[in-house]
Order: sequence, then structure tokens, then C-alpha cells
Amino acid sequence: MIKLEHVTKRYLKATALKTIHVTLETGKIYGLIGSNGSGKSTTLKLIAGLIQPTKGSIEVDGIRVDRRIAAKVSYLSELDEYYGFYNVRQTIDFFASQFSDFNREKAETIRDYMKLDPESKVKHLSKGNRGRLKMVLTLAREVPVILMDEPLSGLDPMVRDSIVKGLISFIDLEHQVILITTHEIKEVETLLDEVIVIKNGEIAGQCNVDDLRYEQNMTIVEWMTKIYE
Amino acid sequence: MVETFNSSAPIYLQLVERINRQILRGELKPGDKLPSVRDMGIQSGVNPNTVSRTYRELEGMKIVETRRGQGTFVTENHEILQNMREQLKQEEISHFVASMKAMGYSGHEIMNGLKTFLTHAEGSESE
Amino acid sequence: MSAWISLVKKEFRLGLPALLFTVIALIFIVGLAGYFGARHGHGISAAAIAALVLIPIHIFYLLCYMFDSLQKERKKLHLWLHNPLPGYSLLLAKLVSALIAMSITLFLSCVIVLFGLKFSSDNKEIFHAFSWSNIFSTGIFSVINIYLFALDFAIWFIFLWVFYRMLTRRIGGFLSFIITLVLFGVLAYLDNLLSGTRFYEWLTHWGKVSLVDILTGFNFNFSLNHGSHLSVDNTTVFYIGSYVFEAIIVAILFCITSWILDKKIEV
Repeated sequence: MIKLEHVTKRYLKATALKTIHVTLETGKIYGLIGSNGSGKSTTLKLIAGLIQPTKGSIEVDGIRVDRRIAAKVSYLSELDEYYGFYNVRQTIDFFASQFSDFNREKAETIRDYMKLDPESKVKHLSKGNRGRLKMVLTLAREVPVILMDEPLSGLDPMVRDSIVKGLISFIDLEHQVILITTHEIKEVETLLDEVIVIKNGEIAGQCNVDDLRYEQNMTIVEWMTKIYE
Repeated sequence: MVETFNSSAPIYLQLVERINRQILRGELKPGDKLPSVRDMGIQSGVNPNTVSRTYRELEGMKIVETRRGQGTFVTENHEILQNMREQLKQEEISHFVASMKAMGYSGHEIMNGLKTFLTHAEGSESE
Repeated sequence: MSAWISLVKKEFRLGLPALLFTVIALIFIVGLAGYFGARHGHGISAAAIAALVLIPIHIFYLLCYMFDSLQKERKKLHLWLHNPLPGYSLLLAKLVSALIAMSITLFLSCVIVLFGLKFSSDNKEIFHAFSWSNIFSTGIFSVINIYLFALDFAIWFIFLWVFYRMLTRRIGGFLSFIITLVLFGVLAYLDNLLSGTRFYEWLTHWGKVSLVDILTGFNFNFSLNHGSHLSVDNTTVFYIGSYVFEAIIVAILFCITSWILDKKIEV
């Protein structure tokens, strides 16, 4: 479970988040959507303990986060920087060595599913394959919290499809909570339980995707557009 | 490819409808086991929680039954399936009639048009 | 533990280009000196002298290595820091791989010097003044001090680096750089001020050892056959206390650095 209370994050020149309150429960897939610069990536980095809130508190499973919450959080960055001197297999090996919850077999299954050649050098991977590698590394951990920052961005439809399907196949919703930020809303619409709209650093709305369709007869895109009007 | 869902109705209801149609077409027979929640999610590109909700909905309609530790099965109660068949027919007809009426056709015109259409359609099928 | 060992391997791999560069530079410099020396008939001596000059430069090795390693990590902070290991483990992994790399070039330099002493006829006079055991004991004493200085510099450097990175996300790069520089200046000034005081003397001037004790001690241990030719009036005195004092300061700096890395660095 993830809990953000009164969280404000100010950077040098701008306020990224203003007094955010969010609680995310295990067993659900959450989508965090909003325009560029609305504070999506900031929220994920805060939960991963990779940046610190200016005010407020962030807890994962009741523990106040800092960098070392990495033990409970698998974070997929929007950057795809890896150690270029490793190949795919060595990168997986390195991650397996660093995280005790890393499931080697699962990593192998996902890598196979994503059709990644274990011997190809990371620095020679195409953007699509780097996106796939990120999925392997993020999903192979048996970890309570998975954070994904723009896992689909800049990838072609085939890669996006394999990533969405891979996600459904390899997450463990009984024990995990997943938070995804994305611009590709249509692609993940069938994937999400709940959607949180963030606007100018504030939570502008949160609801269940099917309830949204049932009660308001709206898709996520329509809802977000309405909020942003 | 991930199957597409239209944007007007909740996804779990669209999945309910999809499964109902599979039963009507005989792709799923009475007593058949439905895929597990996870597999169904993967097949249709849908969140497993949504699939659970779909199965619960179908269970509420008594179209499927969940047997502990075994999975979810299409009911063998033909009466329920017959009712479902009847109900879907009524729904589809009322949709059709409503939109025809909205365009200003009378009940008589609809009836005649349907008769002619079906005669033609069946005629071309038998050729 | 195995996670940490894997991390050391990664760090070593990350620093491998830097290591190769220093090894090649070493060979190049020594080779060049040897080449020009050979034109005047003193090839081996010149090469050995070049290597001898390179040995004390190793006090900057760890600092440069850490600079290179941390700069490479700068764009991958989300990778490096997204790790359950504590900050001191992350830093120690880098330091250990740096020490391994340093030992390789330091060892090479020493071997070249010893080789030069052994096989160059120019060095006959040196053996009139020093025995092999003298050379070894001086060498070992110097090498230990080079390691200690190198560690000292490296830890000061990573402290300043981490301090700078902590500020840079909050107040911008330029101002952070100035503040870091000022902090360094102030700390250096305070250190200087402190070392002039009686208090400092009282704190550190214990465990007096004169260099000659060590040399003759080694001499005595290593070779009973050779006599010592060192004159006692050239004795350098140092205090174990000042080493302990510096070690404590560096340990405190290292703890602060680790804490900042865990709690205050932003990717």
C-alpha cells in the first residue's frame, strides 16, 4: 500500500506538486495521467524515494520512504539508461544480484516472451528492445510495488501491444500494486482499475474506469479532456 | 492483438456480452470451462480484476457457475441459457425497432421490410 | 554480501576504461623516458626514474577514479541509487574497485623502479648508501602513505561531490558550486587553524615513531647481514596520533556522505 499525505514538492523554479493526498491499495492497477509537466514523473520518483518531498510524508507498506525503499519498490524510469558494457543476459544477472526478490526464472520467461536476444549488447539495442528490457527487469521482481514511468512512450504499436500483454501476464495482482504514468491512454484503458488525473501538480480526479463508463458514460480520454477544459 | 472495446459501455459488460455471444454461437458449450481469470485477461488484453467482475456478473445472471478449486463453467441449465437467448433477441429487436422508429418507419413498414429482406437473404443463402 | 561483490564487479567494469587509460599512459611515459634515456646510454635508469616520479602521483589516483566513476553515474542516478544497499555500501564498492585499479598501476610502477635499480649500472652508488632492505622498507612505508593519502583525498572528494549534488537540485548548479568551494575552503582553513594549536598537538602528538626506527627495524628483520648506512640525524618524525586523528575525520566525512546519499540526493 502506498500513502501520500500533504505532499508538496517544490523545485528550484517551480512547484511540481501541491499538497497531494493519495492512497493506493494492493491488488489494483492505477493509471496516473495528465499533461506534460503536470507532476506525474515527480510523483513516481517521490514514491521510489529518489527525490524528497518539500512537505508531507510518503509511506510504502507503513515505511517512510527514502532511496532504500528500492527493497520494496520496482521502479521503471522514463529514461532508458543502462550500463552499456553489459549485454541483456549480464544486465539481468546484475539486477538479479542486486535484488533478493528478483525471480530469475520469471525474468527468463519474460525475456523469452519479449523475444529479446540474451547476447545482444545493451548499447546496441533498439528503442523498442530497450523498452522491452525495462519490462523484463521491472516485472521479474516479486515486489509489493511496481512503478512505471511512461513504459509505452515512443514505442511502435507492436511493442506497445507486447508490453501491455506482458504486463497482464506477469504482474501478480494478489500481492502487488501497480502505478503507471502514460500518455497512451487508449492503450492502457482496458488495463487500469483506477485512473488518477493530475493537473498543475494537483489531483484533479480519481475514479474507477468501469464506473466512469457506467455512471458517466465517459472514457478516460473524454474525462481527462473535460477536466482539462 | 489486444481486442478492441468500444468506448460507450463498461469493459466488464462488453466482456459479458462477448461471452454470451460465444455461448449462443456454440463456441462455448454448456458445461465448458471458461479460461482462468488471468488467461482470460491475457487473451482479451484486460485487467484481471475486470475479468473477475465479468465472471461475477455472469454468475449473478446464473449463466456460469464457479466450482471451488476447479474454475468457472458454463451452466448446464438449458432453461437459463434459453432465457438468455430469448433476452438477447428481445434486446436486439428493441434496439432495431427503436432506431427504425426514430427514422419514422411504421411498425407495418418494418415488418414488411424485414420479411422481404429475410426472403432475399435466405434465397441467396440457399443458392 | 554477494550483492555487494556483484556491485564491486560492476564498478570495476565501469572503471575499466579509466584503468586501461592509466596503464597505457604509464607504459607510454616510462617507454618515452626509456627511449630518450637510451639515446644517452641510460635507458633503464631513465625509465626507472620516470616510474619513480609516477609513484607519488598515485595519491591522486583514487580521487580521479572516483571523479570518473561518479560522473559516469551522473546520468544513471536512478539506476545507481535505486538499490536497497545502504549508501556506504554503494560508495565502498566504488572505492574498493578504485583501490584494485590503483594497486595495479602502483604495482607496475614499483616493479619498473625495482627492475631499474637491479639492472642499471648507474645505480651502483645507491647501494653504497642503501641496502635492498632499506629500499624495501622505505618503499613499503611510502606505499602505505600513498594509499592513506589517496584514500583521504578520495573521501574528501566524494564528500564534496555528494554535497554539491545535494545542493544542485535545490539552488542550481552555479550557486552550489560556489557554496561547495566555500565549504571546502572553510574546512581547509579550520583544519589549518586547528593544526597550529596546542590542543591539536595534545590530541595528535602521541605514538611517536621516527622513520629511522622503522627503517632499521625493517632492516633488522629483513636482512641481518647488511648493515644500515643511514645517518640518524636525518630522521623524520611522525605520530601515530595524527594518523588516527585524520582517520577519524575521514570516517566522519564518509558517514555524512553516505547519509546524504541515502536521504538527500535527488535523481
